[in-house]
Amino acid sequence: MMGFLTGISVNIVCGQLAGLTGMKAHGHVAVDQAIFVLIHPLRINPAALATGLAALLIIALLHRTRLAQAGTVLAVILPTALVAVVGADNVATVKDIGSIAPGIPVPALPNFHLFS
Amino acid sequence: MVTGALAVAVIIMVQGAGVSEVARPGQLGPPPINKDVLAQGIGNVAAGLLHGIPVGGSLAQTGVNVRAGARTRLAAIACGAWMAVILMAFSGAVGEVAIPTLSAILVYFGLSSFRLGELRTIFGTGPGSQVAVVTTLIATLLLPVAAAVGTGVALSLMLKLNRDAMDVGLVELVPLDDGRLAACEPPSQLESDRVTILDVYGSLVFAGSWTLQGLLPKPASHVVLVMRLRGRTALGATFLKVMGDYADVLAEQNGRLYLSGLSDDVIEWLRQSGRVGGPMQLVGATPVLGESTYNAYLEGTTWLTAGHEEHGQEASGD
Repeated sequence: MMGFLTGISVNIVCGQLAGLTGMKAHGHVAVDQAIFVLIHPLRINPAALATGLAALLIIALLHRTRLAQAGTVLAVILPTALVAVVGADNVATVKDIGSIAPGIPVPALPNFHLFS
Repeated sequence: MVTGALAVAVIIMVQGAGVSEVARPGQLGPPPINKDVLAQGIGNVAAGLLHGIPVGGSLAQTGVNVRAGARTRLAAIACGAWMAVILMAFSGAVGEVAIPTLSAILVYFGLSSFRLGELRTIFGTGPGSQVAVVTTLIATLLLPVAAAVGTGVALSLMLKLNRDAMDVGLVELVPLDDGRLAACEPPSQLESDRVTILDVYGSLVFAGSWTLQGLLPKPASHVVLVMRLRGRTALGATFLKVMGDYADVLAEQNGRLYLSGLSDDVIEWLRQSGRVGGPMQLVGATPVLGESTYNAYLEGTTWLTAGHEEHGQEASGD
């Protein structure tokens, strides 16, 4: 179990390095993607990296204080607000991955014709 | 689609089980894996009816949840409720969230989920565990999740079987004047014209019986070996081969093998194998510890002093 869970932790960290540095992920497994990021340092998006590091800093700083629980939320909101204010267009946002339809989804039966 | 769904189901089940085992703040007892897996299944079916895609337990998200103060399943429900509120009210704002911040959260909790203390402890328990941990770790990094877990399970099974097989021991039992048996180191060679009693410890399933074969003392001429097998229910074909061959070797030198302390089931199984009789005699267990072994000892002594072979007759046990 320990080997498996450790591997998952490593995979999580490696898989996020691309997002953290604003690069497109290239690689079959998470470790490949992390290595790609490390050997292409010139492709790092400085604005994205700064945003990511700022978020990390906020979580780390608030971790041992009374605001620890809010730390995660603040880590998302504050750097995002900064990006919006500064107008850094090259930092990827959630809507670049996909749009979120407003409102809650309505229950519906799935399309059984797709069953195979 | 069905095979894809099954693959996803297996992955969700395995990852969920892993998370269940690891992330249980302040809860005692074995993890409720059945309940957790069932809950994931029900949740995914419900999500399917709401245009959702299947999801499973995630170590990173559980980490975030626990650090935010989650203690009971209300946390998951509350999370869902808040999600609905945010979707309704803030879907536009959510779209503006910078992705590096989300990556940062996952990186932070991925890093903090490393259990270096436990890793170090497990590493210290010996080469078996070291091999298991490193192999499973590499498998998880390079293979898809289900394959990695399969590798880990197969490896653990092999290592356990190996450990059990190595853990077999022999003890010689020497009868005292009052009928009790005293334990001592087993001989490396049997003594001629004597009855030797041996007791076996450890699992004799599969490779354990091969280990036993290596431990058995060298035969001598005109000896009787009594092997105490009280309490054993699983013996297997390997054991039968090892002890059957040993009995034959003893018989070639005018010797005999007695198996004592046997339950009725084991006697039945041994008789069906056809190797019983002549060189290999069976003595059934009695409620008194050591009694059947002592009886076998007495029978063996009588047989030795009578000094002749018997053809295909079985000694009766009680």
